[in-house]
Amino acid sequence: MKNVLKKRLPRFLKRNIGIYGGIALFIILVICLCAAYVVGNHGIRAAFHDMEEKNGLEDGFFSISVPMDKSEVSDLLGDTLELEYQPYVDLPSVDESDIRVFRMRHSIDVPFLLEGSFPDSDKEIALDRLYAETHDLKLGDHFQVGTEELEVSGIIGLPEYIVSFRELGDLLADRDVFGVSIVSDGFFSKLDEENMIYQYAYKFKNELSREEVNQENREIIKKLGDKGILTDFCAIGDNNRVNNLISKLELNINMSTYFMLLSMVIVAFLFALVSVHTFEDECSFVGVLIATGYKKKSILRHYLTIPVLVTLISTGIGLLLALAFVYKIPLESVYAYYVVPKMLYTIDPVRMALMIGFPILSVILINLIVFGKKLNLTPLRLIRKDTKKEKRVKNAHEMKKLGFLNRFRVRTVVRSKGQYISLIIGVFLAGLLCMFGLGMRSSFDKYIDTLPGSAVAEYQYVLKSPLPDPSVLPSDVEKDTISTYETEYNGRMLPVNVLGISSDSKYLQRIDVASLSKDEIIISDIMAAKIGIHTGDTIEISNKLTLHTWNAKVVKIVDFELGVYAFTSQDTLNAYLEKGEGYYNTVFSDSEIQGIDERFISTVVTKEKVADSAKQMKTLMASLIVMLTAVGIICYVIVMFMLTKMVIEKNALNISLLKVFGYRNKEVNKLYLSQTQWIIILSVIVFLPLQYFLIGKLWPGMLNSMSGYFYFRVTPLVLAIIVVLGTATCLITNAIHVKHVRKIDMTEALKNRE
Amino acid sequence: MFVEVKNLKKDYGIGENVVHVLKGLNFQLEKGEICTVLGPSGAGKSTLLNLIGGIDTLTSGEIRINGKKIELDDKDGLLEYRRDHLGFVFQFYNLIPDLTVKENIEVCAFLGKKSLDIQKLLKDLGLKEHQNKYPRQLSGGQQQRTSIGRALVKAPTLLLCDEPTGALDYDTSKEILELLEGVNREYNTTILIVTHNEAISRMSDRIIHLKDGRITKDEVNNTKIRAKDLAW
Repeated sequence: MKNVLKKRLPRFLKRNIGIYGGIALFIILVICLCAAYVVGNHGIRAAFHDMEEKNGLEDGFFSISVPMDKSEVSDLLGDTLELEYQPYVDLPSVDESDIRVFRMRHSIDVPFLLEGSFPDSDKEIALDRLYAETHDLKLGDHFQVGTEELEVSGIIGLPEYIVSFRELGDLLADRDVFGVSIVSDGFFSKLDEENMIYQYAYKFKNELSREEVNQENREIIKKLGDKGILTDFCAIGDNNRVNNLISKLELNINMSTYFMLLSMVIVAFLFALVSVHTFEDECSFVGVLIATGYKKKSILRHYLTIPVLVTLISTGIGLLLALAFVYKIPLESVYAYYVVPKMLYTIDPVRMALMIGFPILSVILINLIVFGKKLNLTPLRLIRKDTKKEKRVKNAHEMKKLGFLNRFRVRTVVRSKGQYISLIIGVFLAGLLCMFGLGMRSSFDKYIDTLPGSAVAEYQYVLKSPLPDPSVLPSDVEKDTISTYETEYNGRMLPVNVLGISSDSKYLQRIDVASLSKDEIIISDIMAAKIGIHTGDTIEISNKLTLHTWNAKVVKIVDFELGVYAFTSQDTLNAYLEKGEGYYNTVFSDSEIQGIDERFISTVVTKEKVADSAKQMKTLMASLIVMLTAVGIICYVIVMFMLTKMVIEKNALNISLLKVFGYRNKEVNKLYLSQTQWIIILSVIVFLPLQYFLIGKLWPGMLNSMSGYFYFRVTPLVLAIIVVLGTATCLITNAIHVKHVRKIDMTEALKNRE
Repeated sequence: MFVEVKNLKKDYGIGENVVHVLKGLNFQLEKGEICTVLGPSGAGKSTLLNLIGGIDTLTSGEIRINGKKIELDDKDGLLEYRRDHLGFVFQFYNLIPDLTVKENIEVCAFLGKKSLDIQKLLKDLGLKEHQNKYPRQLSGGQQQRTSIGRALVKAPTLLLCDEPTGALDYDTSKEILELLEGVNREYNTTILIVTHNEAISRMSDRIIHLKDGRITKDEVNNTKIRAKDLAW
């Protein structure tokens, strides 16, 4: 008996190929793209962590003003540290670029080889991959480095230069003008020491807690500072050349995961619809099966087979495509900006389990719910299709004011309300995906547009210390103090820039810090939005270098788009940083300041650089944005097509009847399709605010891994695109249905049926 | 002649699997006649109704209504023919469940060039007080009345009834037959009734017996009785 039912399965699938094909396509697409992004980004993250261990990524570095050998430094700093001497020189090279030349390292920050070999002779050099690609330098090529001509022996990456920022505070790496390299000890020893930076990288010998790391770092600064030889210091946690990558990868993984979860909700929703539809269609047949002695369990198994198989196969195909080919798409955008070791093909078990498990579990669960409940009805009720509780029917409202056509449409909508509600939910979810994708793009664009305009001044110089000769500074510049604190947010430490504003501030007058007590701060709206705090709340922020912990009350939130900032008076901050009166380490100016000794500049921020960095971030996420939008549109098509088809199928008999009476196809379309069309278009428009609100609520979570923040913003153009997309999809599916309606056979109505 | 059927043949399937459902029918109906087509299951009654109703194509032969040949290949022409001339009454009423009684009738009033007054029709059919009810709130008889109202509202010249009492009890069946008789009298509508029930034929002007796709008897009923006097 079982075999007879099995024989029915391929026929059932063939009959419902439109619906199952649509769902399968959607699952393949979602799983393929999400898995590709998760696997690709996760693979690079794994490769990074592997490199971190194998190549001995530093725990920090410092530079000193005088050459000191390793033993001297070790004596000074104690034996808790492992040291690697990493002196470097920036030398002029091809295309008017500068190349930072390091010698080979052996225990800390050991370069990873991507092609060729490390330099053996004094005539060889190994180049950072992106610098080599930008200047079209290949293995065996000869090019000028300083006064020498060297041969490219290898293409490499340096663990601490995943992004080769010339200065730590740079916002954008420009390989046209700057790159890093490794040369042999022999070549390095011949270099002029005049412009050499005496840098050491260090690693802690023991595992330390975060507090202990901060304490140790403070000790290093103190000991070197006391000696008066410290010129630069950076703990790995603050090193943008390295950290930049991980936060971007995590952003991509987060976004794909959110997207996947949202898509899986849609998949579950589609399955629910299909199950209900199948049951309504096959109710009498199920009743007959039970009446003839089939067990409920075998009927349930029968109806589970096709959805489960479709889900399993499409999930499998999606994963296969992702793992075999598509994962390369996200890799491309990462490789275009970061020099990382080749991705490690590893699987994120939680996300993978979610991707495989969620669709299959949802299909089983939904079918169990839909069929399980209905199978408890008596066979007779099933055969009669009497599956719903009988409600007392009231006389209909006359709707006298409406003409016949409109009354007909209203009645049809009311009758098929289940399908229409599903349709509306589907339109909402598909629109949500579209807004997610398109909104992400417009949010970046808006961020890029507004960011330069919100810069405090044309130029911001961040200094390593106050200038010994302040006379190089024009009198109209503003000298403030800036320091990086951090606060715990969602299980990670979020950097907070604390700006101590001088009492005679020219650029930041609007932020009234003069009235603040020592326990009060003003914060930027970006900070408030990112971590969700309000005026009156108290926040704990701590300084890694001074170990100062500050429980400050937020007294005001000000518009300040540059990032996560807190404001206090310069005097207060200087006191907390244990600096004397008049200390400053950042200078704002409307014009470029000439004559500042480069050694004192940590970084120079210009409006242009700020905008470029945001653009770079958008480039990195471009493929994800395109993916989200594309899947959103496809989702629109599938959902609308499936649901409107169900509405028409439900009314097929009546449509057939109307044709028998002599209704023209156009008139039938007016009665059955036009209201669907309007409901869809109206839903697309009406749901825009709700979709915007919902994504706005999810947005901070999505940007969790970013140290900065920007608002989720949709422009009128995005809204218009969503409406146009929704409408166009609706019109296309309608056009397909018009054909379908034309095909509905009139003899359907004449078949005797109860 | 109002309806002329000449050598009407209808085959289904092709090659070896061809089934000859109608094997050359010939009959005529006068304007205003009630004609009953009797026959067992599989005789071809419904196929005949579908062909006259212009919703299925014939294999050969011709059908003329009021002297005009029905071009079964011309879809638009057929549509206009159904729209302007025909009314349908089905065994299981085929009312649209989400429309009220009045609205179900309006479905066809919408198509008629000179539709009848709906309120008068509702009154004549005894449905006035039920006009705002949905079909599921009505008895079988009331539903069939509604179905007849829907067929009549556009004043068809030919009313095709497929087992109009097949789903009804004795008393209600008689009520419906009386109603059809009244319609025939009042509007001079030609009525073609397809049925298993031989008793119904006694109220008709012409009786056609159909068996295995052929007319076995085509007789004028000279002993026609009123519907109210029917018994079975």
